[in-house]
Amino acid sequence: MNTRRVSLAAVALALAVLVSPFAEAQSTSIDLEAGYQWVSVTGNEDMYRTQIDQETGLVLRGFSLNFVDPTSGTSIADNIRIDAAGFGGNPDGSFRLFMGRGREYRFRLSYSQYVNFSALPAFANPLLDEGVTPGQHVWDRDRHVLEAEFQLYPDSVVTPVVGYRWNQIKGPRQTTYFVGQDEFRLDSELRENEQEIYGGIFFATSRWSGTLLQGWRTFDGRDDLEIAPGAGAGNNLETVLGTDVSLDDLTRSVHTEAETPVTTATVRGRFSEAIRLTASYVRADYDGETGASELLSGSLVSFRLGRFFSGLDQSISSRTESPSWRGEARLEFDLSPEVRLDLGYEARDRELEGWALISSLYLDTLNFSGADPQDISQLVETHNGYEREDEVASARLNLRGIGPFIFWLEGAMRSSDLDLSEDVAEIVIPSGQQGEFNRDVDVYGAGAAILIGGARVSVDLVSESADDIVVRTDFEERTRMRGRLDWAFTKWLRLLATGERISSSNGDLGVGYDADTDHVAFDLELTPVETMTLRVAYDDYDTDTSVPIRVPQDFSIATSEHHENGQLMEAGFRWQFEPFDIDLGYSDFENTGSFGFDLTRNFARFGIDFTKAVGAALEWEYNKYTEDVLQLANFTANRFGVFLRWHR
Amino acid sequence: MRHLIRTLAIVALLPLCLPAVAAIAQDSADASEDCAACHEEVVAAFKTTIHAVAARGGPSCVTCHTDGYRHMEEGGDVSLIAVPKGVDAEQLCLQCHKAIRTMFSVRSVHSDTAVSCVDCHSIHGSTLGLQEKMLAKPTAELCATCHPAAANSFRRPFGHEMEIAGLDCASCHNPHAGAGIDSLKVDRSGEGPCVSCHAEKRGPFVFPHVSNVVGDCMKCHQPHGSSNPNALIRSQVYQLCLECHSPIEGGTLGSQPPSFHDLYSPRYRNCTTCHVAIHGSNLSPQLLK
Repeated sequence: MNTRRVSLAAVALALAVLVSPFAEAQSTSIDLEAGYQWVSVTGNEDMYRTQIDQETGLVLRGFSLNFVDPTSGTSIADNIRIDAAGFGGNPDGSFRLFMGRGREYRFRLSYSQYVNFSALPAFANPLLDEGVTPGQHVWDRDRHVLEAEFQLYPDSVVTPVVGYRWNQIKGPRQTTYFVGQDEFRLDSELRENEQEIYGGIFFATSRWSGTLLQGWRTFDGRDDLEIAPGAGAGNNLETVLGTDVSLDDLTRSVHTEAETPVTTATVRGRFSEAIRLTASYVRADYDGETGASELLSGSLVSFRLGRFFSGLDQSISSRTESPSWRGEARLEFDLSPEVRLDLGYEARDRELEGWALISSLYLDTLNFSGADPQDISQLVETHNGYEREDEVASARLNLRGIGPFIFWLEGAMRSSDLDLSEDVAEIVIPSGQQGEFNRDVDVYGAGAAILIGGARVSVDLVSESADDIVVRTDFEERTRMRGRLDWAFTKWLRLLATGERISSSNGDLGVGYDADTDHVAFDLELTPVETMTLRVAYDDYDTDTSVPIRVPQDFSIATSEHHENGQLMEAGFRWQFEPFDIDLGYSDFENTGSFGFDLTRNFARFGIDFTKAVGAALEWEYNKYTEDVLQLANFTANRFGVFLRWHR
Repeated sequence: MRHLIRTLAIVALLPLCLPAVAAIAQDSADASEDCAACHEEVVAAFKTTIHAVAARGGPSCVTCHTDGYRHMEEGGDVSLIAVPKGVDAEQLCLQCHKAIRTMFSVRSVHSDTAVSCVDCHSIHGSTLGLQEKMLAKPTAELCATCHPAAANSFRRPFGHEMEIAGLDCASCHNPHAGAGIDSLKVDRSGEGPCVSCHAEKRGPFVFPHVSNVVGDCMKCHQPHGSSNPNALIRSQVYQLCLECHSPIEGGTLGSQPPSFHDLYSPRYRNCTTCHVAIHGSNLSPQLLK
């Protein structure tokens, strides 16, 4: 088992022990469930880890402590809430602490960890036909997110607040690099940290409340890469102009630092009982610098230079400035107890100015006739930029309490202006990379709901119409229809049905984009006795898209089509008959269309309470994944677990 | 840097203020004791909730159920005690939870369709063990009771996991409604929820690609769950790329790949094999590193 997971599970369990003295307090509740699980996988273990990633080992299924002391005048906190789950054999783990004391202070701390693994056999894998798997882009990284916030005198007229957030991703991956007319696998070790500290006030009067916060966000990222062992031959085993292209050595180091001051202001309040205002303003000014150095040697070809070369010494320094702001205001009018009108306006502006200086020294170059040996120095200075402005004006009318009916109407105008500067270094074939683009979208929507007895039925329709597109998959016309039935027939039957249809199209000459999605779901729950629940569910997801594309090798026109037809069947059974409880689940998701596969999941859990406070549970989970075409992606996995639970 | 030091100093000094403000705390009589004579379990559960702390000057049983003495005198006649439901319950909660009010009352489909606070929150404490934020069930399970299609999309093999200790619906969505489309959360810098975790994709980059320029993460990804690897909206990478990078009639953004990108070769059907920095790069205009 992965040691990082073991250590975190140990930390979580240690926390559980440390806080157990709180159990002595009169109003303290504790739930704890922890145990051990065994995982066995047959077939493609990489695909299992990519999708599920449970491991053999200790697992903290859940720990919750709730301490409430409404009368204490001396303790440091009169409410403490701790929740922890995951870690160990589970790929994710989380820990959350909330504590406070009346209206004196409030403190929140949370930590989450995610194991991020991906090793797909077919994705980004040019050597799949030769039986080489997984693909050349694999990673096994950890993400850690820590957040803390402290409020002094919460819910007072003025509440000072300070907070901190840390987000780290680190770990190895394998990637590729295109150089000298071939692609080579590289090993990368990444460590990126984003931190933000912020402070300010919350304020609240009888009519107005809001926030004024100033944050400072920093980013520090380092990525060190080198050629993967045995990868010097590259993906292209053919010669280029009669020369074997190969790479003997490569090292690259990239370091990025950035700072972003972030200002956030919000205000909420009411001019009168019938008129309310919500407004916010955010400004973030990003300023970042990147430095990179790269050294490589081998036998390589450059068509840009028209030469063979045996080494490259490259350094890159770049700088990015990106100021952005976003403002929003919304007025709500209670025209009567049943009628409400909301008017909103939002504006957003984002700019980018980027510069890069790329200095390259090509070593030992020869022209294609094998003559004129020399080193060639090349300096590329590139400037890139854009400005995007978005505006949204919206109105919504809501009629509520008219008998069992609810109605709403809405309209909005969205406007986007985009101005991209020409990036000379990027252009290979002119056009499609710069210019001014304007797009206006008109939105109209209506909906209704009716509540009769135990049934709630609702329908809504949204229609969007655009005057232009920016990219070819933007819609010109889009409609979305949704319907919902939620019917609770006495306490023993509940039927839930939802349906959605989204149609997007652009019939313009040269675009011809068409996309339709239908999604229906039914869920039936039977509760013949209070302690027993039976559930069956069916879900059908259909999507079809088509758009003409220009095939690069001969510039001919073809149609890109994608189809999905996913059908999900689920059934579940829960029964509590003291001191036992049973939980059974079955689900099968089959997708046909462009990428066919089947995923079956079975789950069984049998629990027993030895006493009111102590119990145990046995678990079994089964996952079977099969692809229609690529059999080597398939896996079957079983997970068995034994868990002990304690409650007081 | 000066701002940073000043802020850190404030953080360090704040705990010193605690003893001084401790005297401000005032205990008040708990009006729940009379109710406990009959509703012992309910009152006991209520005392485990944050409301019990707020009871020192805040709500107790009578705050929501009104004066229950006639109810007691008449031997527990349920018609003589208020049991707020639906819109009435919502209005009652919002009397204190003012910050929620302005969010919940606008753009919230939950509010529009008369889903009220008590549909999700168990005010007396959860019957299913300890739940955060007084929720009636764990978040993902709770949302699934009304949003089966969204919940089912997590059954697809590629995408975010909603298993134990992972994400839940409220990680990205604000059930009380917020400024973003589909009630998506917006962080302090006005950006969507994806980059709150995937900070390395935030950029901005010297050479950006889609995000912030012509769309957001959902232009290429299905965040709930996808039938396609890497939670993409297409199973083949070249399709995803060429659908924009085919300026057939011109006038659209998206450059034409040069002709050596021969789709008969698997090297070129997998665009990201070479264009590895597909979310943006500070080093390569062609997103090659």
